[in-house]
Amino acid sequence: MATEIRDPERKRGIQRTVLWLLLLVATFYFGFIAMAVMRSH
Amino acid sequence: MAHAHAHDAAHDHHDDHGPAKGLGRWLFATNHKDIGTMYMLFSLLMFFIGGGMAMVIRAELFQPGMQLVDPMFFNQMTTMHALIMIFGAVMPAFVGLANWMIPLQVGAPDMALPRMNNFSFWILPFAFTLLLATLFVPGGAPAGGWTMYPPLSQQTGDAFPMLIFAVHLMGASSIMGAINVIVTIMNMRAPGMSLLKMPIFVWTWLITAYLLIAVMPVLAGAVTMLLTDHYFGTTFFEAAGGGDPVMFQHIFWFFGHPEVYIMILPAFGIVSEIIPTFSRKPLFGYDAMVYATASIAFLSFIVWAHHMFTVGMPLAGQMFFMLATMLIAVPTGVKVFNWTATMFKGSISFEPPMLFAISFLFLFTIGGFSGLMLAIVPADFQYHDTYFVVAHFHYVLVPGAVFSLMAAAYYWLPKWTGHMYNMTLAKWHFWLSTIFVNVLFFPQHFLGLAGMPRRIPDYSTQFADWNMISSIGAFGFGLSQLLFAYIVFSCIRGGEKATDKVWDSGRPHGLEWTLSSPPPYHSFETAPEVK
Repeated sequence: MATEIRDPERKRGIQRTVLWLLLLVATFYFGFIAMAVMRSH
Repeated sequence: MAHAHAHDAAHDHHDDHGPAKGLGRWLFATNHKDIGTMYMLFSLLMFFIGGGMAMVIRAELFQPGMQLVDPMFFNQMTTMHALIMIFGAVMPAFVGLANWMIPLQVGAPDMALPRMNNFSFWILPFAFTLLLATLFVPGGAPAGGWTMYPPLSQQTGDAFPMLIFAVHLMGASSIMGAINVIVTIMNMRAPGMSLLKMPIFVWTWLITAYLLIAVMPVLAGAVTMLLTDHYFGTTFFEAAGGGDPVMFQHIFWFFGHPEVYIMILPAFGIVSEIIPTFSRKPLFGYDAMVYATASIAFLSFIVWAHHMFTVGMPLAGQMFFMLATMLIAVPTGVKVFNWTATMFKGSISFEPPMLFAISFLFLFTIGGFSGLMLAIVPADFQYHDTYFVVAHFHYVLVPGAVFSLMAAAYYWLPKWTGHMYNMTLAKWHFWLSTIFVNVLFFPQHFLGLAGMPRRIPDYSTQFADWNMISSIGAFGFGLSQLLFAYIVFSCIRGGEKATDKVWDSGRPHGLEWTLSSPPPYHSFETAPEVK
């Protein structure tokens, strides 16, 4: 079991997916705050 | 649909080491089944705490006039009931199911990120202890509604920062859970399991997880801005400082509407698993079900302002949000049609999971139809903030989301525990729940159409009769759920041994049924073969 999870290719895939998702989370969080800042007078 | 072939050897070669002993097994859990179990037990506890608050609300509304609690406490109950049921009961229950079932259904040994899985669960008890502790601080618990609209929410007492921090924690937990689900599904599927061979429950959770990733940060952003308005002198939502309170509503509902689908898409997945099993037919229109789920998720991002027609918006805006909302009926109709077509000419049997799934089909559809009524702008001006809205979303969330959770528990409990539960009691639980849930919520349509506003502790005497009936339904429904807890805990403690397939007379389909009941501590040490 453990060997499969530690398979380098799979590990890279997991890391890549996590990074993309974190980027998405940060975009939505800061994007909406930035939008509100721009809309404030 | 995945045509999985049992890999007979799969559960003969698992590691010898089992779970850790004592409290450490749970505190440091990284096993998807242990974490799934903790999520579900936590959600059951929250279900009873939030349910207790609902009982206070219905007891106060049993008769006109002030009966038991003061109005401020009543408002705290409505707010806390919603927060606890949404973030503490329904969402964690689905995450618990995802933890238990996704690795089993995709043929993975565990979730992809087991330590983060532990962290995302253990945040929750802290978040909800913090939230519940607000009941005991000066000014009491939050009372401005779960939507936290400013400026009302800014009047919360000492509970305000606790509420904001608790919401941030819940959001962080959900985001971590969603990342784990997506990463597991995208990277850990058994060889041969292409996306369109995944079980439908996995599909619905994949789409739900993307919704979570997109909208939980938006909620976090909104409450962060509430916090800075409160303590750091910003005026995002304060008109006096050039801000706009209505902007909060737009941001909140950009989160809030997809949130509704976060609570119902996995329910669709569960029902899509159960109906074929007990109809003894494959799911009708698997591909259409997947595309319908994705369409509903997409549309959920462009309908948010239907929650706020009455704030005033341009006619073009009203038309757009009305029509976009109505469009959701199309993919939802596809789903209802496909479930019905799956049952058509099937050899149907009525075990408890199927009973709850059928009840879901009828009662969720009622909630869907009242949603369509609310989507009509001129009608919404009448219905807005009345008990009609309360009836609508409770039909979606109780006989919708909660019944699907009951169905899932009755469907997979023998697989999880290795024991069959008491079928007779489970059928009693079903009938009592189905009858009382309608006694509870159906009269609320009449109350709303007659003009009774929501979130009030007292009302005009003309609303007395239906309120009393609704409260009787609530007490009956609440008591019936004690039966559910008894059935679940009895099943955990023992009972007739369940077979690997559990529903031998049905047509259970998927990798989870190829494992023993209960499954080995490390599921699928060897990746199964999917054709």
